[in-house]
Amino acid sequence: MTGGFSFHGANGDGFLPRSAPFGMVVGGSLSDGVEIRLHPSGSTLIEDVKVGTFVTIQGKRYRFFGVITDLELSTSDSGIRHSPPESDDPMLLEVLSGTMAYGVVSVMPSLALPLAGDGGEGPAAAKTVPSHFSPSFPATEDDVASVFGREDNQHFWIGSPLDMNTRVCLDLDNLVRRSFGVFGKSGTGKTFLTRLLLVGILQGGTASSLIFDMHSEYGWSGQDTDRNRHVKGLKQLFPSYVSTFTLDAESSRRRGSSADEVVSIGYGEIEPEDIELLKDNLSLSDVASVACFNLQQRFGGNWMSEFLARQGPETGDLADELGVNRAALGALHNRLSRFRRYPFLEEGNRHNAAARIIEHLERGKHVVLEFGRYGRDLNAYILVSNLLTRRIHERYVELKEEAEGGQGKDPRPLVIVIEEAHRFLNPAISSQTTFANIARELRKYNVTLMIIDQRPGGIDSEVMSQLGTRFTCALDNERDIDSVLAGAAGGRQLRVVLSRLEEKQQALVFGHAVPMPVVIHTREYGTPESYASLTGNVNLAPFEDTRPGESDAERLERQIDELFS
Amino acid sequence: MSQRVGEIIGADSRALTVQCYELYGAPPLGTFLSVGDPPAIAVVQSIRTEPLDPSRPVIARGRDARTLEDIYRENPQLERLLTTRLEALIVGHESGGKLAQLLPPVPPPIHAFVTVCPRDLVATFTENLEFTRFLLNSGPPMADEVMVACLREASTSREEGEAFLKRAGQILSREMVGDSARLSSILRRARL
Repeated sequence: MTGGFSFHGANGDGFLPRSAPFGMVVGGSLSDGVEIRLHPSGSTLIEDVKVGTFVTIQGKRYRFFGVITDLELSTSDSGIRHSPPESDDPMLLEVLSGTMAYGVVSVMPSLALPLAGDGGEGPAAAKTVPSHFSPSFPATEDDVASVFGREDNQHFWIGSPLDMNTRVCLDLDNLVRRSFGVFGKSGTGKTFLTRLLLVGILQGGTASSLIFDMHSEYGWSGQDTDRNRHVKGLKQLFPSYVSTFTLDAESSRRRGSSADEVVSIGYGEIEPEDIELLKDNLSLSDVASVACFNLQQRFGGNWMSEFLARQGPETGDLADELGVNRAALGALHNRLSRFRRYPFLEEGNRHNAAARIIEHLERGKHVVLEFGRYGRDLNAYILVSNLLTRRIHERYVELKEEAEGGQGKDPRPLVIVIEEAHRFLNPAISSQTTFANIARELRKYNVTLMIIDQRPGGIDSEVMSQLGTRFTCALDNERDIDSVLAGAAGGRQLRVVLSRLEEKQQALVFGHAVPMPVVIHTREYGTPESYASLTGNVNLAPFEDTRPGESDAERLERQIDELFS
Repeated sequence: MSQRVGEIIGADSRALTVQCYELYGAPPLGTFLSVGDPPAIAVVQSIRTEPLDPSRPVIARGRDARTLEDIYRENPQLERLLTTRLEALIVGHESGGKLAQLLPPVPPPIHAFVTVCPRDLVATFTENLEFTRFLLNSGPPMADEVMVACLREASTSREEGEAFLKRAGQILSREMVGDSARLSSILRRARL
């Protein structure tokens, strides 16, 4: 099956393109892409050619693969613009169309496959351009497969190229090796794409994922607001591979989700850095947020409980004692008192939610932390996700260092999924967050981030530049588009492609997990058939509930304990 | 049997001068002619009627005549004093039994017979439209008019005349880059 524009003829050769060319190279450059003039016969109408379509160009030494980045109506006679032919003469219009007035397609050649050789070489990044008059063809199913690989355990089918039924596959190893992002304005299918990616990571089997599920839509079930139906979450699809944690057991119960564990966090686990991160959301002054450090110095680990226990005038006395502005400390007390409304915050510091999560992750499980009603409270989301991530980060660093010292094995790679990422990773605060550290350097500690955001323009450019793969659904805001495309090869050309994405179920994918930028029609998710295809063709390794260093007898004993405890 | 219209009285590699046997007996502008044997193919690009003796200019004779026919009837010598000549542009020739849209190596000899190409030969010859280059490059002021006449004849020599004109237009558009108005004019008039 070929792309959306119509072609005739076949040469039957498996390597050469099997359809008629739609045009030939007439100009261009490596930096700006090549210009392909549509065939003068008019066999291909420019209206049938779409930006983002996957095409090939048959050079003399290489076969080039690229996407259409722009379309232009051109004329060999500038006079046509000023005095076009009479519109009541169809034959004249037909003669001029394709000859003096013709379509030019801009293509960014991303990959080149040598034509000579034993065929063992795959396509590599294009370092040259096709020569003049090279014919260009719509991509075939074989082309897509030769570029994106066939679906297997390491290649996850994420969608199809525009107007094709073939499968674009992601290289899962490359995907999780570096942080990656899913962007798009509200309602463009970020959540569905994310669900697919999470299934892919799960099927790949090389990494675990920890999802800070703000709106409780990945764990047990989610909403398809367009079709007004529920869709299954990871837990329903892969029950033995997914653990759900919840901050809001009541909400989980109401939604029919049986959370494996309820998360509680001790006040003693909250660090001043966590509050500093919330400075803007809590409308705290610099003085007030820095006062947390004074409080920690004064009271130690349990500073927050101690501080919140002070009432009225006691706060003023404490301010005098610490040498902090009274009004600032009063404001801090007032804001932090809001945390009393969170039932998941409890006294003490031995709740070890992070440790429990790590335990599940190390066992190869994928953990979804549902926020329930607290997902609507950004402070709760930022506080909990940052706090847990910091703990997990620390543990991974320890594990990795131990492994380097020969005292254990490498921790299982982990992908941490966060939503509303611009709240954590904006330039003002990103330097203080664990997330920015992970994005910047934690690849070496086997932890990467999956950032889901509708305002990528708000994310620190340094963090954005670290993203290995970017999936972007439709975006409107110029700043967001600039931010997503910053540093991408051919970013200027991709901008046109991105700006023309449909509002639903389409995404531009580029970066490490795909050999070349491609626009995909996202794979279906939410129908019984889609569930069957997502769970049916997978050769998942049987789940082994074994912890590192645990013998069979120890495992059995633990499992019995877990069953009856 | 093809109609013989005259013979060559002047020739060079590019164009031929033909004297017609009959006064006013020239085939229409744009007509394909077959000249000599093996034949060269030429297209009528201009026709003129003039005195046989250039030193005896034509004078007006019709002050008292009612019609043009009256003048010729009352001056029968005119048939002997006047002659019709035409200029034809060579656009191809037969070589080895095939028609080639190339100039013949040498022009046809003087007195070579000139006949009008039969319809089927015109249709065969004009399957290939390379010959239009000769017409376009023959230079103003008549080139476009001859092209129009020629295309009209070629299109009427076949059933799918409209498709032929479209194909011709597409070929011409390559030659007339940047001059869509001229191409439009030619195509419009070729279909009048």
